[in-house]
Amino acid sequence: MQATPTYTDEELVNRLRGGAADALDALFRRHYVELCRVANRFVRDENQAEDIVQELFVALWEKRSTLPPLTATAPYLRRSTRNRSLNYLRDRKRIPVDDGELPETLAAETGPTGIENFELGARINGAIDRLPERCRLVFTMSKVEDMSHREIAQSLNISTKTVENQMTRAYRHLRAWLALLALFQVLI
Amino acid sequence: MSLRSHQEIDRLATGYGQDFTPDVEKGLARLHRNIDGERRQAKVRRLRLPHWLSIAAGVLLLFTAGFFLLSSGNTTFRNDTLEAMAVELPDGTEVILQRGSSLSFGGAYAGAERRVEIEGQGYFNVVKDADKPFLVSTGKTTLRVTGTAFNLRVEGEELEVEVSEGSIVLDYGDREVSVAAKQCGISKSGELPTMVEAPNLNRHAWRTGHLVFENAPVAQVLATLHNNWDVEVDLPTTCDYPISATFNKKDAAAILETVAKLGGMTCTATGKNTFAFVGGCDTNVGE
Repeated sequence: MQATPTYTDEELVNRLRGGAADALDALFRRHYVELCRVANRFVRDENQAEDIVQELFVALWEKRSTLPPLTATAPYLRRSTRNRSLNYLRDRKRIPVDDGELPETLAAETGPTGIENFELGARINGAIDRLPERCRLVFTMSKVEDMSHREIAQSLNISTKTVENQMTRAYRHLRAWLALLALFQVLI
Repeated sequence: MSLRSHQEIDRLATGYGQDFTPDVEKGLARLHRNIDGERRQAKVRRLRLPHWLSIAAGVLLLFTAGFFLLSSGNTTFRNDTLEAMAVELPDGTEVILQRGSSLSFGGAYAGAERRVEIEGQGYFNVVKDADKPFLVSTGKTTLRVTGTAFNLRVEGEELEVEVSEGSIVLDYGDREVSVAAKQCGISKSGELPTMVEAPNLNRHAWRTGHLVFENAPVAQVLATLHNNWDVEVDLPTTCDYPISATFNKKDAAAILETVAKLGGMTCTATGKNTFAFVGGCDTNVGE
């Protein structure tokens, strides 16, 4: 029942263009998890993230006959997901227009038990999430989504200078958080 | 207290959001529901497959074919045209529907199973899907396949299926009859289905134009022509002679002419699809 795993993404898109429903299923199975993660990094809501990716695949099906020939399908799907996620945030006025406030103390928000109970890799999630929203988006787009400063600036309608400032801010905050974490580890 | 570098932050950041793993199969099921209406819209379209080229010229597009979408959620195709019609079902299964035949399926098609009804004749190329059997029922008999190609003729509770690729099963109560490639399954009302060999796939002739008879009684030849092209032939009752011949044409009248000649008779048209063999029947011709 599984669609033939030997097809490349590009072949699947070609078959999809011809109306093959199993090609859509194969692309879905291959990319759904990763695309949901991409969307979730933007919207920070797992249900909404799945909705966004669902809509992307519905659109792929509806536009199948007019899909352009794709040489790089995975990046195309990722880019579409990012754009849809940003549109989602924009529609809900969730793209910040100012810098936002940094939380005063990290420890006060997290609490020692919170830090002890999670692994370092998982804790970075919390640290990034506590960045002011614009700072978080810029940092995520740059470091997790590998977008260039120019792309980020265009997506968020800000200057590249602002992107750089936000990156500096994000690093300062995250470094402070990691230092604090190291201190806890020494104390424990 | 160590000072963490940008590199370490970058490395840790790549794990951001990796803790979310949605259920792919649930998501896929939801996608299918989302595109339900669009995807399950069956299509009548031109066929591109080379082995169907022979009928491509006769295949009609949606707007010229008799096509109804009923309010009950059932989709019915009626081929009211004079040519074969190609229909693509929601799962990609392709059916070539003979003129005068109709095919229908419900809104739940390709849910747990793929169930269709047919009255008349069609050639089916069923997309493989072991989880969703393709089913056609008539009377107590149900034809069940997972993916194969066959010619199916249904008239009332009579069903005749000649398999060209793979195999099918005819279920009858708790009994089942398997029919493999180049075999024919026959089901009549109230009887256990039977299987006969069909090495020449003569039941596909309306579509392929290929007929082979090896020492076949003339009555059987005429029945085959009738089932393929709906032609009725008036044959002198005492007339019986065997036919050995190969035909490569879809012109029933031309084939009938040859069949009549092999019996020392001539064939004349008496109506739109009715013919009569006239002249002295030479029962020894063809022996």
